[in-house]
Amino acid sequence: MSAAGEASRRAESGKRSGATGREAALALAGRSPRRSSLFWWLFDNHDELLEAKGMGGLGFPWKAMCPVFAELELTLLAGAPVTPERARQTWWRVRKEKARLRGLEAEAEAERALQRAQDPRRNMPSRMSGRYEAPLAEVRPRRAVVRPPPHPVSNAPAIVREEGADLPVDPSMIVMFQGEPLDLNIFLRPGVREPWEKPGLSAEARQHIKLTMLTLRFEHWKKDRILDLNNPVDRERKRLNALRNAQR
Amino acid sequence: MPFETLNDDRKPVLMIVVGRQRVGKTTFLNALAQYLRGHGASFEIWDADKMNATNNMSLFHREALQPTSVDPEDVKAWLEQRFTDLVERRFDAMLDVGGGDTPLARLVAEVPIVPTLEDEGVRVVVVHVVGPDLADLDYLDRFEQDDLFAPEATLIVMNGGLVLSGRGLDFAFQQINDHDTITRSLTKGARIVEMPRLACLGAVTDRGLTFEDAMNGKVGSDGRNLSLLDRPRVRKWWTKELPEMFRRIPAEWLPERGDPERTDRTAAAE
Repeated sequence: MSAAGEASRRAESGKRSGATGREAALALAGRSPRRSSLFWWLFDNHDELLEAKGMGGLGFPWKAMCPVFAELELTLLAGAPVTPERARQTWWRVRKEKARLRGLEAEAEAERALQRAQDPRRNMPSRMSGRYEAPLAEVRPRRAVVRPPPHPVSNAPAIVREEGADLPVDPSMIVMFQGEPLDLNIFLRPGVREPWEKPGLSAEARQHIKLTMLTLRFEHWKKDRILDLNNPVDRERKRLNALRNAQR
Repeated sequence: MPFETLNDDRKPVLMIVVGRQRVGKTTFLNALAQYLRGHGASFEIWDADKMNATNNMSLFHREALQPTSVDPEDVKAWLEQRFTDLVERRFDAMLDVGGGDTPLARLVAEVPIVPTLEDEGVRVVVVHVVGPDLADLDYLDRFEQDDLFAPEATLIVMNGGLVLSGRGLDFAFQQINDHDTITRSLTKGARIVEMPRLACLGAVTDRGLTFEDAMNGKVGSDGRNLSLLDRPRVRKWWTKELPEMFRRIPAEWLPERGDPERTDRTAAAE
């Protein structure tokens, strides 16, 4: 769990138990006063709200929710009452913050995986868990070297970011599939000029077009793969999972 | 259904569906209207597609308003009346103009419809329904040129139902997705969604059934209900796949949903 997430959990827990002193101070430490009480409430209840939204179909009924916010004494900054439009805006700020934190966590995990892979003692018996009855090896374990993964075959989709690579992760490019995060960059087409690479586009337009196109390919793939589970994207996912497990 | 006047803090939405003939414009609008109505939304439906007698909005939404004449000039005048009414009374509306050379296309060529309505505080949402044929982009291309009819709120609906069975969706839509027209629209802020295929769509609409009635086995105009396997097909499409598509449309581009209790009940039933 990220630092902010932990602080949020502590704060929520502290509020429920009526904690004072040290716990209350810890809870407050992660709560920027530049954020409104509505922001932190939406932040704390982010997952439940998304789940509820998933059941309801379209967006939230902000207008109907405003009286509930008032009952909970949730406000905007400086105690201003919550309006539907401001609630919507605050929610998107929460989504953005959550995505940022997820990105940080993914980067930290990638860094940890790299450290593990580069640890020359990672295969030593003292680092292993479980029971190993075989005698100790007589040869010194080879120093681990992190090699780049094999280049994808020509008709396979490329993945830009490999587990353990120190390239930054773009949280907006991460979607959930079967309970696991999936980097949309897996749907890039190697050797093909993508629509967002056309000349004359602004950075913002490139990002919008890339996200739209890769999301569409993801949606198409979800339907198309039913008839072909050995498609290039699934093969690439399996390869990456194997790579990740080997690093662990 | 009576419509409600909107609160002052929200722009009324006028959603207009355009595209070639037989690409699924009415199917998209009909499904969206049924879904939003089921979730408590209140809006007017304007059915100006007088050429399509077998599959039009008025068949499924009896309260839909229609022009009394099929003469293009009369329909143009009728549309002007509707626009004026919407600006004055501020409510949400959906317009089905049909395909081909429509009175709307003529009106657009005469008057800058989008800026005029937007200046009056109306959010114009233009929906282009396309299939995998490159020619399906003609309307988008034409309306985008010189910003003839291209609001920021432009939604491109790729109709998966037009892809031949057994063909991969990604492959089928690749040439459309890579086309400069799509890139240009996205640059201006357009959104793309894909309408999932329903293999037995004709069996539902030909019987004059709503999707909810169809999946629940109600009898249609021919005295028969859907077959054993078509009912779960409709259920999956109506309760899972379509809501996923609608969730991808920005909420402010859609007529506002009303009664939250109704929303909760429907969601729970789903």
